[in-house]
Amino acid sequence: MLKVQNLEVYYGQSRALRDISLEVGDGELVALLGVNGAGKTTTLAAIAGIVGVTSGSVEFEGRSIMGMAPETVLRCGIALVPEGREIFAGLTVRDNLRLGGYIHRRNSRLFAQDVEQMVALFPILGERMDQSAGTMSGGEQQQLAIARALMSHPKLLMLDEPSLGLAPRLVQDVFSLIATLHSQGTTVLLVEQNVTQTLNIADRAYLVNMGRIEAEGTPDELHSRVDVEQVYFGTHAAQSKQSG
Amino acid sequence: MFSWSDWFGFVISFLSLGSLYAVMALGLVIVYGILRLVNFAYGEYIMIVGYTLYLLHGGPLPWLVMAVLAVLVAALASYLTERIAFRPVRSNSVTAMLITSFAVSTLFRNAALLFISPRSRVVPLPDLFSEGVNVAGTIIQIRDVLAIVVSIVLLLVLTLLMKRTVLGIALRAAADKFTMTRLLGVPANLMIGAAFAISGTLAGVVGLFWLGRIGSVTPLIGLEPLIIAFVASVLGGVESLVGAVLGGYVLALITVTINNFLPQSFVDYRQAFIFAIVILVLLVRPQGLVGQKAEVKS
Repeated sequence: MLKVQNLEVYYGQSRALRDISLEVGDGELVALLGVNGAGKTTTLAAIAGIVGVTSGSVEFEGRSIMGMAPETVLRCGIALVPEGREIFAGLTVRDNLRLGGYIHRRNSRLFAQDVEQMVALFPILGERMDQSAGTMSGGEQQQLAIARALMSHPKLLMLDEPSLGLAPRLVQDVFSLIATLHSQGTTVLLVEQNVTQTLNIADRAYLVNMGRIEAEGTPDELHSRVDVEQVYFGTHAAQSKQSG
Repeated sequence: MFSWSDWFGFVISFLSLGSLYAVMALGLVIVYGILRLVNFAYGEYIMIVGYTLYLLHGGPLPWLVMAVLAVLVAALASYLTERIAFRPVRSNSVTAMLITSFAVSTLFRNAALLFISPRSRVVPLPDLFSEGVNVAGTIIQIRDVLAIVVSIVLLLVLTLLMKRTVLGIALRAAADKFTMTRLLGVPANLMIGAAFAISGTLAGVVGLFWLGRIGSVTPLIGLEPLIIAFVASVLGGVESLVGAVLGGYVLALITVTINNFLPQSFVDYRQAFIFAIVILVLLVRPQGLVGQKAEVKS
């Protein structure tokens, strides 16, 4: 479905991505793991059309989407839930969702249906519907950010550190939510620093370091490389003992 | 002493000036919110209204039709400056756009100098604009009442547009997080084009009343409204539409108060007094009256 090859991205003079190649198949949940500054967020931003690509290629469903504007990439069926959620704090929850469904704006029946579906998936949004989104807690805002992205009916959902800054109990909720979406058939590309939880739900994962893909494989394959986890993720001794 | 009818006159001049300032500031802020660009060609849209009226003068059209046409021309001019001048440099930097806006402003002024005249030209105005009514001993200018009514209707229509239509909601969202709005599929060009068209329309409507006060148009007429809009929006908080409106009314209140209460010998320096007060306000609230304090990152 998504095929990224030899992606190279510069921010001014500094090279943020050196050589990123990855693939996401239809219905897969693929994770990008790595420390801060490894290039995970930049990879998603390059796919979404937010940052320019120096060289390499990005193909989605067989056609090149490289160099497209963010609004065009979305229309191709890729939605990004960016780091930090980026909800519109001054707008009501309903208006946030309305913008999420912007490309289907002429179909008001679909909008009503979709809102119902989102409320079924995220009951808290139903209670907060006409409240301004900024008054919600971090966990609620994360749910809204995901719901807003789903409103466009994306074929591929990209999530950038959805568990960042959430209380441990909510982190669990977010991961089970992503697992649920995946089991319902949504294709997901997930960027995370929470290695253990991510590998519990992912089909495959890539390890990103210094703008490169360092390793790739199924969770089982990656779990067996404790050394990799220790080097990149500072895994606690207790956890290493468990997995080793 | 200040009598009841003096107070009445005071309130009317405050409200009419404030309404014009508010709409002016709003037109500047609606573009700033999305592009972070202060469009220094903004005052020239008011000049364009003036010259459009001047050129249509003597034709077969009734004044109201000419006025609507003039506003449309201003809106079109604003939209076209975005398409022709700003869009090509948009991806470079805000500074490039800022300098472009000075260039556009100079271009419009010099075109007026070259093709029309450096001297002022009389703008056709309806008789209503120079009439007054006597309300309890105070002469109230009808154009002041019209300015209040039209501005408030305009503000209400704009509020409705920004709250009820998807594009309006998108514009409000874009003022907060532009890239995120694009990530949801709202085209950048659509939002920016709409912001410029709205900005030009607001400048156009204000222009009618601004010219109505002066009675004529010169190539440099846009400078003062530009400065007023700029100061009012900074005063209110540049990132907020509500702030722009509030800033407009507060600036008008300061202006009208100084005009009424300052001794005659000081009136020549009234700009200095106005700006001194604005500076004092900004010393206490640098983010503007409505703006939020910039977060200090640890």
